Amino acid sequence: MSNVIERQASDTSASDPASGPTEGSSPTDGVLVAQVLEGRREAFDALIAKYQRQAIAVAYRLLGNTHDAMEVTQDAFLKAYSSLGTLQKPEAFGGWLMRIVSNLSLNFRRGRKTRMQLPLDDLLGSGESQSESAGGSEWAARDDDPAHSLESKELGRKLKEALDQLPEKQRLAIVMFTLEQMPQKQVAEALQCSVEAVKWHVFQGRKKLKELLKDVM
Amino acid sequence: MTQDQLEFSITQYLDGSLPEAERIALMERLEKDPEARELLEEHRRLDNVFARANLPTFPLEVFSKQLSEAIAQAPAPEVEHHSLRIPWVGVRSWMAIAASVMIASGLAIAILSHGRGGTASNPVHHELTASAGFVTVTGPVSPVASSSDDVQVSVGPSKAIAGEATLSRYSADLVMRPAHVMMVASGVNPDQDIDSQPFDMQ
Repeated sequence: MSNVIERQASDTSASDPASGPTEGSSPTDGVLVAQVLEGRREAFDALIAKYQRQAIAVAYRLLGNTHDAMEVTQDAFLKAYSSLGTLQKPEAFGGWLMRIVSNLSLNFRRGRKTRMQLPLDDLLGSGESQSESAGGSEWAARDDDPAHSLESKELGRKLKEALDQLPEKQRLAIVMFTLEQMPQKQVAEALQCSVEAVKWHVFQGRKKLKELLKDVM
Repeated sequence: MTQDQLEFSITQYLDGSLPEAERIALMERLEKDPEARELLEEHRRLDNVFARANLPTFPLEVFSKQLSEAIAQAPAPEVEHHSLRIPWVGVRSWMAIAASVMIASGLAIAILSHGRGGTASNPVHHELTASAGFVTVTGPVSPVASSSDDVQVSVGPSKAIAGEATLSRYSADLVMRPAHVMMVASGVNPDQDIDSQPFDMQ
């Protein structure tokens, strides 16, 4: 029951579309976007601080490793910055950013599948691929997080495999709303659908996950 | 309430988005129905799996520092100018508006040109001001129809048009069959050959 109360409180505070995950008395997203467009680049740092954890978490749930998630998230922020002038509703920056993150993550996955189908020599021939697979990059090295227990990792892997079997909208709705606790309105903006449709995707996704994760429940 | 509706309510109850009236109804159902309670427990166990599959700690400081540096090197975002742009009027709407203006202009020209049809050589000429298309007809005095003033006629190319070199090849195209013509009045044109051309169209 405590989960219910927590979530209700979270969604109430997020009923303002401008609110984000770490909002206090800081300026709204609309104000920050306007400031960036006026040439105050430091206002974008505030948007990064506000959304980076959520964006990396969504990318991580879709991609399954920290390095790829951070690479995609960085691309998403850069893309959001360069296209900021085209954002129709500046106060909906959060949903818009998550749409970019999810689209780039899905594209990245498709590209990764293609890369995995390449001959082994092509993969081993790349120094970059070798260092990545060995966890050589600064970001990938953090995957050896002692707080991230073996059980968590194993469950995370099973959850990701189950999520991969869901249709795209259901997967994104579960990741953003159920796992990352984003407000329904922001998820609706990210998925470009209604709040009611988000509820429906979550419901359908949960029904399937219940079956797929039966052995770990 | 079907099984799907019940389960949908349970998932909304767990994420806190179930409206109050439906929440009360669900509570009553859960009290009475052990299968509904089991369904609720299954979803709670699923939530527990989600909670246990937590995320690693992300190196956010390193990330934001690197991203901020990358942003500093990126070109500033361009602002879109929306001058002379009405948000709800798209390209199709503008085309529809242009088409409407052209049709209205065409109708106005057609009506005005019909209104100027009379000449001094025609003894009977009726100026009609109705906005619908019309023709002026002169011809011999005929018995007044007993039933109605409305008659149906077919109008073909006049000899004048057929004789025009530039228009003769279009004469077939100029045949029209109006559904109704209102006979406002009729009169006699003494020069008219009523055997070959019962009505003289102007």
